[in-house]
Amino acid sequence: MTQSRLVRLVLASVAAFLLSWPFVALGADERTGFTVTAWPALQVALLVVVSGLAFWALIEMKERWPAAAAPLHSAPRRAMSRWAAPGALFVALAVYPLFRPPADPMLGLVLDTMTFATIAVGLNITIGMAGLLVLGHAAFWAVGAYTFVLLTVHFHLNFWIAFAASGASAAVVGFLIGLPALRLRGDYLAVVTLGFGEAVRWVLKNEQHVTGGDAGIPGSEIRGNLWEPQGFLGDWLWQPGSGSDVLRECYWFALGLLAVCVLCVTLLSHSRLGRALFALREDETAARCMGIDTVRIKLIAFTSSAMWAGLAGVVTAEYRGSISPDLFDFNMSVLFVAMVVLGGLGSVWGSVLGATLLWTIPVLLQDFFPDIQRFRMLAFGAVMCAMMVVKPDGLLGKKGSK
Amino acid sequence: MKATAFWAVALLTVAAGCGDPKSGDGAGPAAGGAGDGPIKVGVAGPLTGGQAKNGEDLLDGATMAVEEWNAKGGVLGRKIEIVTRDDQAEPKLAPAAAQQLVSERVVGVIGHFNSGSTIPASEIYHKAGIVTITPSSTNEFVTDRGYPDVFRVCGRDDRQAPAASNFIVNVLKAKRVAVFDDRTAYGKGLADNVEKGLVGKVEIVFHEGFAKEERNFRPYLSKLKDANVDVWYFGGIYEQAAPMVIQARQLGITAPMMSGDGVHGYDEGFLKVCGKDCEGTLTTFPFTSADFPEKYRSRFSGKSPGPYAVFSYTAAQVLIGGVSKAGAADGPSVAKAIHSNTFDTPIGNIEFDAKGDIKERPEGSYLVWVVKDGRHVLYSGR
Amino acid sequence: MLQALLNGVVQGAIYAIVALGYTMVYGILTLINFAHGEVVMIGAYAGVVTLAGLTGSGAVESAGFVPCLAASIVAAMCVAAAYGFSIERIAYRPLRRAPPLSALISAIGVSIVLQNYVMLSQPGRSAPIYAPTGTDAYRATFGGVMLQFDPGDFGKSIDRFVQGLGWDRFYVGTGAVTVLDAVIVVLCVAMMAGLWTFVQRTRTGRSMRATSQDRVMAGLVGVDVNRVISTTFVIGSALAAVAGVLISLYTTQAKFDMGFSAGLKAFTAAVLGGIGNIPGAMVGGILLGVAEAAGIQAFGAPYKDVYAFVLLLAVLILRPKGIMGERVAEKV
Repeated sequence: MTQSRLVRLVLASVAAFLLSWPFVALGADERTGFTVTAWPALQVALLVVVSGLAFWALIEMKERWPAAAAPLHSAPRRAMSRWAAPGALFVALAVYPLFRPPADPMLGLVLDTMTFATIAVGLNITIGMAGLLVLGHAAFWAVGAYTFVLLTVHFHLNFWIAFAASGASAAVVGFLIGLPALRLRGDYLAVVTLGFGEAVRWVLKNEQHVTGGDAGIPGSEIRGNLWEPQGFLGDWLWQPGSGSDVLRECYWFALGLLAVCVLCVTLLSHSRLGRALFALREDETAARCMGIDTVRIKLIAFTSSAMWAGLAGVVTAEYRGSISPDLFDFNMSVLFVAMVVLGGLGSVWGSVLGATLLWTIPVLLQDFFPDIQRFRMLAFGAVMCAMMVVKPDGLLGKKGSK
Repeated sequence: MKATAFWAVALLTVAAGCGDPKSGDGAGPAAGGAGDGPIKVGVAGPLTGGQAKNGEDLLDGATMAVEEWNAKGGVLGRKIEIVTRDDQAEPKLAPAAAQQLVSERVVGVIGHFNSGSTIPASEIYHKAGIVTITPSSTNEFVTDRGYPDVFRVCGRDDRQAPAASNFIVNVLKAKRVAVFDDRTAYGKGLADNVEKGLVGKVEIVFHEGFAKEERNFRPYLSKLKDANVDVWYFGGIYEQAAPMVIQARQLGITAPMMSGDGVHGYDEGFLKVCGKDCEGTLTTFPFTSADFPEKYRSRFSGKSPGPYAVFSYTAAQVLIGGVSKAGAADGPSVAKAIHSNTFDTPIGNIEFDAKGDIKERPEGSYLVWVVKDGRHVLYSGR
Repeated sequence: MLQALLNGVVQGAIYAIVALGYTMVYGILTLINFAHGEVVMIGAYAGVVTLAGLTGSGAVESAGFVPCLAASIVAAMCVAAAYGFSIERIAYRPLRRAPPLSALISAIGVSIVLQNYVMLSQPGRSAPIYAPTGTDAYRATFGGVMLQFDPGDFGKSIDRFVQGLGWDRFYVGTGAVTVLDAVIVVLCVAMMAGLWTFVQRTRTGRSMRATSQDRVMAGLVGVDVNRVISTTFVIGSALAAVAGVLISLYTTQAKFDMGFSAGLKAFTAAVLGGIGNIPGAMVGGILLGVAEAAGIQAFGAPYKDVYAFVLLLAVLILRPKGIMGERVAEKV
């Protein structure tokens, strides 16, 4: 061990001690006193040395780690083979409920995951393709869910009309919040969308006479209207939830929506418009110089990604049977962004993968290790951080995207 | 290459999910724990997250009751086992936790803690024929749906609020009152009902709400100071009540605070923290026996019980007692047994009405307590 | 009204101190340091634990409250600085060349870890810990009123005028500034000025400015970029610790999830003032605090966060780079 390494080890030990000191050895219980939680000096000293070593090893390792991921080389393939694997996955997911008992919690988990994957794929249009950071995406989800529930409960509209209206209303709100985006760049836009998301949640919370306030719109109040076919052509059109098995019907509905969403966004990313979006992300000024109408493109990105979140909100409301404002909080917005970034910016299947990992990991940790479920969020945060460090461009992202 | 690997993994995952032996044998969810193994009792609440302390109380109370029964040899000749699931006090996680408890085939669930979680979760339990006994969700709607298998051992907001408003009008004879709430289903529901009971009888100077994360109350309290009230009501929980009382005294407000069950009894979090500042604070809370805290302290090495530990203990007593009286461990017959029997618990002898609430006592289910020398004592004049 | 505005200034000063940390890191790395709020929380815990320890051991009686508070602030600064340093090494440095959003996500991961770490390792779990604001020593030092405002006839005439318009919620009233209020505002201004002087006048400060303008070029002309970035994180975190201790004194408690709301508002304040700009952070923070207080007084509390949002939107539409922002934020 050379001198400098020794010095670094000592420094690391001191740092590790400072990091752990207030929390492992001490805790203030009341406001006038404090307790030393049974840690004899020897144990503390041992802890310092061990954590120092671990910390030092971590830093050494970090510097040697090849942080960059290999670029994804995908040779152009024929359309047939390009859709073969997703098709197989779709079929597998579609038949999956047939092999499970009717009220299986796994179905609910997969359903939620598919809903969030829809939202993440939609959000990928703004964040991944156009490069506009949105930190309030849960608001569009909320607008869709609330529009749907209010229309079916108060106005007794048919499911499909309410479904379309929810997507449309979220799209309109997306358009409106896209307007300031025309002037703002980067983090300024991020904080405006963040504020917008919180504002929507507070409106839902405070306008109790319409939205039910913090308790939201509870299940049994909306149940009949939500799941019974009603309104225009209500007797002829199938709708999810009208049969005996609400969970499975919602599951297939969510799967269908995800499939359509993935298809549309994939086609979009290969289209002229998609290429224009990528150009906008790489360099806005250059894109404008090349004759791309950046104003129009930004608004399209905002509107379409908000629409997918709104449609996903319908699935959420239909499956849960009750909604409340805290469902749509800032943490969910952040989680959506994390899904997109973790999966890889601009990669449609990356968003699906990101949604799957980030939504199922905490739930599965609880399911398989119920004894240590207290620690699962700790593990989740560490995994999230580690995945980013190991694959900075996202799991399926292309290297070099900004 | 990498893309291929991704697809392979994706397909394998789905395939593996299909073959998961854990719940693949297709039995209906309403099995309710028949057989010879231990009888499973679910405990669901915020075991992590911002309200983890409440979840801990919930689990402790239920654990005590289960340990007592197991020491006596269990029930129906079978041991009792607790299965826990965490909802982080988040309505969005409650259905998932509920589904998991259903697939664990519990006979009944003690929980959830918050009304916002109990309502969606009990929809799922009800469908699966599982008994829900909430120890702490006071929102009326929990039992107003009329499900025969949903019970609550704590009070209802519409019983608690009149206790408070009647007290303010008739006993305190207050003239000017201000109302605060924390904009949650619990806090706002309670404060709204109190306000309803006060309208026309006293002058309500204002009714303000703020986020439950708020910790700086000076903006609202300076309004309160200018309003010069006799008493102010806060619908919310102790975590906010404690700094609120301290900050009110710092601003020189002497009028007492009145609040509900979310503030009462949190020795560590309210009484000790506020010290002299919370003297005179009024709360509404049901009657509880004095020896439960002692029992609790001796079981959990000196830890003081939170206010809902006793209700969780009661809920577990009722559930297991119901199993014993029904002579069977399936939800519907346990629910019937709970409806038709009387239970001896630390909160008195209790019976349930048709909705699943405790039958109200003649003196009312809620009593008014006041903080005196650092303890909650029954109010007995000024 | 007057008291509300004074409260708003104090709350704004707290936002501003936290915002300084955001703005510094952003200025150097064009990165939103999402874990900054958690560093505030760590600082608050370290400070409160130290202060509670000093109170319990009798040091406050022998040495007085102010030296003990100073000692706890220093302890909190050391601990928080260690955290800031380590967070940068573990979560940000490996991602220096990655897309900025990747660093954002790893920062979110770090903040989840820190929140849960503190919650799990504390004996009280999620229960908050309380600053010793009930002790006599505290009251003797901080409990007093420093300045009393009474607008008298002038204020009454404004009251009458405003009430004549039908806005009965507006009233001037009287206002009082407590010792703690004054300490918070003075510390805020002092730290802002100190930081600004440091960045403008010292050698390290010059390296910081060079790094913020062009990281590669700064490296080529001999600036140790890694060292500069580490220094930035250490200073920003130490400031966060001061803010954490002040918040826990002001609100009487520290809680494991307090960093979230502290961070959110401070981040908004930093953007409002022009992110990357040190005096801008202070202007943005105080403006935000005052706007919230005025909004609460005029229209009621439930929409507090909405007032902040409306103010932000209005300012950014008029000045897309914030009130004092000049630097163009190109990266997302």
